[in-house]
Amino acid sequence: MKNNSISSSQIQILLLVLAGILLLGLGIWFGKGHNSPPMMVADEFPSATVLEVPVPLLQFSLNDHIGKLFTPDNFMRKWTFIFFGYTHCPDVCPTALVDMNNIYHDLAEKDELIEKMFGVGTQFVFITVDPERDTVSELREYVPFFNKHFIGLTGDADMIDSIARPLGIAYRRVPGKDAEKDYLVDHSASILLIDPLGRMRAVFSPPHVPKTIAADFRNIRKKYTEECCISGDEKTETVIFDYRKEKK
Amino acid sequence: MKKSLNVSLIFILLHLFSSAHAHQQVSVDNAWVRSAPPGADVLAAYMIIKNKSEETITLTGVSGSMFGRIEIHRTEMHEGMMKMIPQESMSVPAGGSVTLEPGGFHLMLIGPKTVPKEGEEIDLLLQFSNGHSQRIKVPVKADKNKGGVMEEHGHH
Ligand SMILES: [Cu+2]
Repeated sequence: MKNNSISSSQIQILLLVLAGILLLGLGIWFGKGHNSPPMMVADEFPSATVLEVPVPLLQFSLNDHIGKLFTPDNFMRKWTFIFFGYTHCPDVCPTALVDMNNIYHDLAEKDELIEKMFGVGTQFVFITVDPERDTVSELREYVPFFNKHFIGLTGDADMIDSIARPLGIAYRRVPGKDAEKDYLVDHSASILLIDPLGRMRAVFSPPHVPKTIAADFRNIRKKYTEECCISGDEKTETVIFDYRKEKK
Repeated sequence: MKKSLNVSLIFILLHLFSSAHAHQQVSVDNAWVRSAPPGADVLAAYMIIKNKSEETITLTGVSGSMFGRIEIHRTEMHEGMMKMIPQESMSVPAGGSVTLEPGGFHLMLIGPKTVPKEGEEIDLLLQFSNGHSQRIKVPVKADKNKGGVMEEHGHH
């Protein structure tokens, strides 16, 4: 009898300990961010949501506005600002491109387009969400109007999906007021920052203040360029990264 | 000769005064069209429309011979996406104003016959619900920065 009651209280303690371990384990499992939003660095960058763990992109192949191929390789050893839009968009898209032009000049005026330590450049990319109307020649007229160094990208709808989805860019075609071909395209209006290993590192949500974005970009670049350049061999591996492996 | 000149001067002054008076219920300031690439199929026009009357005035339509069609649009954030929403009309409250600006209300100028260059002007006709209509000249400007609209002074 006595032994029995002792052992049942021992079982209770054992159960409690087991439950504790289970809860702890669950806590760690959830804390690891299984399917949770990427970890962010708060406060340090007022205009940006910076991803502590950069988001890898999917393989894609697009054409730039002079018809050259643009693949994830084109992200390597450069910081890249990206905006998604379409040329039949006279309000939001020109505003964002003018903002990107102001960011460009903020850097260019101080000769800061190229990062000094590793010689990593900066590029600005406009990707159409309306490939049906925005052909290469359409983009050739449109994109350089804002800055002759900017790159416009178009291609198959599937390919545009491939690059847009991991970046969290949503877009949707909606009918216009009149004729069927006058459709509009709703789209996310964030400016995205891709790191020199072709991974999304930061998101700048609208409204955009070019000066603040440029200042944040300098700090992001200072903080993260090195980790992208030290493992120089990985650049040939292109984009489909397992960041867990990389973080080791 | 001198007398007739004076008379015509008075006429001109009177005319100016009366047309200024007629315009007084609605005034349009800081109007501009954003300059666009030569092949652009759509442009946007921005302005501040003031209603000095004691009743709400509604902008019901806009026309311009240079364009296939002109719509009143409003840009809104919707489900994380920027969306241009065509408006049937746009009300300007009594004694108030509505600002058409990047990222908000704009006139969507669709199908320009030729794309006007920076420094040129386009003609638009604003039609209001009270039968009033107003012809405006709108300069084409490059949008260098966000503050651009606010820094401009209205033309008269
Ligand atoms: Cu519009």
